[in-house]
Amino acid sequence: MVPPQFIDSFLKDLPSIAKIIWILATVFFFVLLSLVLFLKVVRFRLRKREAYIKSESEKYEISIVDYLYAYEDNKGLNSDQEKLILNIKHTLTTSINRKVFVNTLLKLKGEVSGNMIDVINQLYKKLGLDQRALSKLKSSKWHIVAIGIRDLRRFKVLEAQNEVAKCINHSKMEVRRQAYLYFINLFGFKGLEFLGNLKSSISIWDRIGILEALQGVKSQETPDAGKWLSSKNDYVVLLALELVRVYGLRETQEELLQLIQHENSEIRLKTINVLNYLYIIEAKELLIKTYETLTVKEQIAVFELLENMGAKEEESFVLKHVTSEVFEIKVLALKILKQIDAPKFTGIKDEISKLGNFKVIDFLENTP
Amino acid sequence: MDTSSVAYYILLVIHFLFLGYSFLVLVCYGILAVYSRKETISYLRKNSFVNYKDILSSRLAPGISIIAPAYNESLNIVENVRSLLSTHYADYDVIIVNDGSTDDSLEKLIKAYNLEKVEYLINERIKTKPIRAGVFKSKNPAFERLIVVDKENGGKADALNVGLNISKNDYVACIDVDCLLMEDSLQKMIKPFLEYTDRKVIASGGVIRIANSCVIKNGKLIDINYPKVTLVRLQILEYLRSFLLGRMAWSKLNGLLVISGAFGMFDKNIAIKVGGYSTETVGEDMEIVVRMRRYMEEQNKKYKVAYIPDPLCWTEAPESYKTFISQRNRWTRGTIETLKTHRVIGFNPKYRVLGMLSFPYWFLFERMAPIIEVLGVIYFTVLLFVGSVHWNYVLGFFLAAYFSSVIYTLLAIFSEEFSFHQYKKKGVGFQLIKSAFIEPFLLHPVVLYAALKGNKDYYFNKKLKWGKMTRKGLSNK
Repeated sequence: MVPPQFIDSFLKDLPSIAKIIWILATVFFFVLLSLVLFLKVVRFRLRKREAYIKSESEKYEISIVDYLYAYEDNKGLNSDQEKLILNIKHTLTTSINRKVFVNTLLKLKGEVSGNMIDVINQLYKKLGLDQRALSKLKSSKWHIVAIGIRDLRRFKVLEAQNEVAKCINHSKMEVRRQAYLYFINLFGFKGLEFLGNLKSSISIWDRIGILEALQGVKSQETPDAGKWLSSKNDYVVLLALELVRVYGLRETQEELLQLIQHENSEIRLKTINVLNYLYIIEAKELLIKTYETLTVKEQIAVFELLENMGAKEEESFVLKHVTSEVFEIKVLALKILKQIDAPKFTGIKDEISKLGNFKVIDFLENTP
Repeated sequence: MDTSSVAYYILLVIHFLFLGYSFLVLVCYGILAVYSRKETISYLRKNSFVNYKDILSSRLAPGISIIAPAYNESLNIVENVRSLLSTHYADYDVIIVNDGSTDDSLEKLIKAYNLEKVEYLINERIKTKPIRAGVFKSKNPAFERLIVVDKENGGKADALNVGLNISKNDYVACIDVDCLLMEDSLQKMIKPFLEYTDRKVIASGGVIRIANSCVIKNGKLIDINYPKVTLVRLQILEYLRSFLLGRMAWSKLNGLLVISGAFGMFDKNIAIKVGGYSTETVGEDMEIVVRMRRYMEEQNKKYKVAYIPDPLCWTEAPESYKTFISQRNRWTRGTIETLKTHRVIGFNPKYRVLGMLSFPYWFLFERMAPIIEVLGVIYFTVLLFVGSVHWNYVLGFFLAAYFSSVIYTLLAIFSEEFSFHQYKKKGVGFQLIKSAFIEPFLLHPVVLYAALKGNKDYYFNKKLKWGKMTRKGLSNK
């Protein structure tokens, strides 16, 4: 141990800047020492936690399976089940246990089918976990709200819809996303009604999630996407366009044709792609008429559409673009020309080649 | 005032300049650590709600091209390509650009993947070296995602540019062919591009982890081990510091200047609009990010360079000091070249965070750091000669600097433990701590030497390009 008098005299003799440096060095030394010890503790705790989660998860799994086996159709809870519920309830006092239990429930939910899924959902409610999840929706922390909605969705707590609806325009996209999924997972196509109240954006990532969730809807019906094609929220229109494409909603043709003149270029581009996908021939004339007002990306999409459904009537339009400065347009125009009027293509190919397009012509000649 | 007083005051000014610089480094690192913690927590929270399975089957998932340049990689090329082809994603292709290899890389690929030459129309939006043997695709439908291009040698940047020209997808993932990608890496890297609606994500960078000593079978990471070679152990700490603290913090500030050349994803159209990778620098990975950012700033468009801290890409770190010095020498030259090329950005408020924060930081603490450190050593030597060393001060300063550097490394280890906890095995914690204590003595002087050599080579050996990287190959372990 260093005697205090030594430290005192040592510091007294030092200039003030050196004193500061020494104080800093001492502080750093103690911080370092505590970090080293803390790191040891953290690693030990992480390992312990992992082992604890594993053992608890196994215990819960046994209890849940026992509960499921004790279930009898159309009868209330029997004494075995009541006992199990009581036992489980006693252990759910800590957040880690609740988390492990919910994860175990979800794991088993993925492994069983039919009635048993409903029984698991009921167990979730009987343990009062639905109320806990619901109370999370009032939290000021966004991730707690998102966890709440996620759990309500996973265990199909229909009663929470009014509370979840309040989160549709939440400032955090993660919360909004959980809210969208809640409505779709629980109410299928009807759940899409939230789009009518949506004021915020839907990212492409959200659209992917929504469409994938809709794929899981067991219904022969198709969503009524037409009404959202005229939404004032551009993101809703973009999602509706995806719905039109995925469900092949050709009956929305009129609305689609109107969207060609939409002020949002992303919507126009998506519309052209959908028109192409649905093979709506009526779009050709309108697109050719408005071609010059479109962006390059949209113009390429128009040529892709013509590649799919071009005919002799479009020859003069196509011919105008065989020397386009945009590589993709030039290639597509020549390709379409070859399709709709092969002799014409043969007639002009040398001339086009001379304009520095030898590789393009060569490629088109050698590919079917 | 006599001469000795003047000399005294000059020394005092120099003295305070060094002290001020050290203090600034300390403060900056502290701030970065705080920002990195915030960003890590935020990322982990957000990520806990993500269902990556959706994008695997979605028709909305945008196409991605993995571009991997290869030069004389015959030893492992077949296994490396197999690993790239086993990525889990809905719509992607793998473009291997054989950059004029003089070995039998192409022949091996043709044989292993049953390749045949195909007609392929390339829109040469970026000027590159010409195609040599042609473009190849597999006759076997199992390898339909694979495209192999054989071209004349033009360097890594030129090969990547060929990949940009060939790609028909909107996004490109540029990687080193010998890197090991995790199966979910594309799903995670594409997410930021699809998630933001208020700004355009122009690039996303991933964390690079060191795979030496890890067990890899059939292109898959089976077991993570802490290496036995000291140099590699110390590099692991360096990588943790850089990727989990530094870059994470810069991501929070939207000030990332560099995305590792080993694995980065780009919006192809923007990358092409700015002219692709520069063949004039050895630091093409940093240069393209700076150029893309500069373009977006000049266009006054809202944008983001995203960063994914998950361990998505594993690579082999140099095990010999010679290779290590050569690598760091190149990194230094790359930094100097990029900062010089885009010097107009520095301290220019027009470029906002990029001009007023990222660029000055890189200039002061990356570009100038080795020079200032050497000047410090020279200054100290002068003081030794003139006999005016205050040993109490020197010892205090040395200890403060040493302790703070180890603290910063430990914070990076904490970040790793609380987030991804990759080094789980018992005993590794002690090894990590031990490495953190010896790193300033064993690695830092070598890094400093390499940086100085890089400076010297930049100014006096302009012809020097990429150094030779000797690899054992991950799949051989």
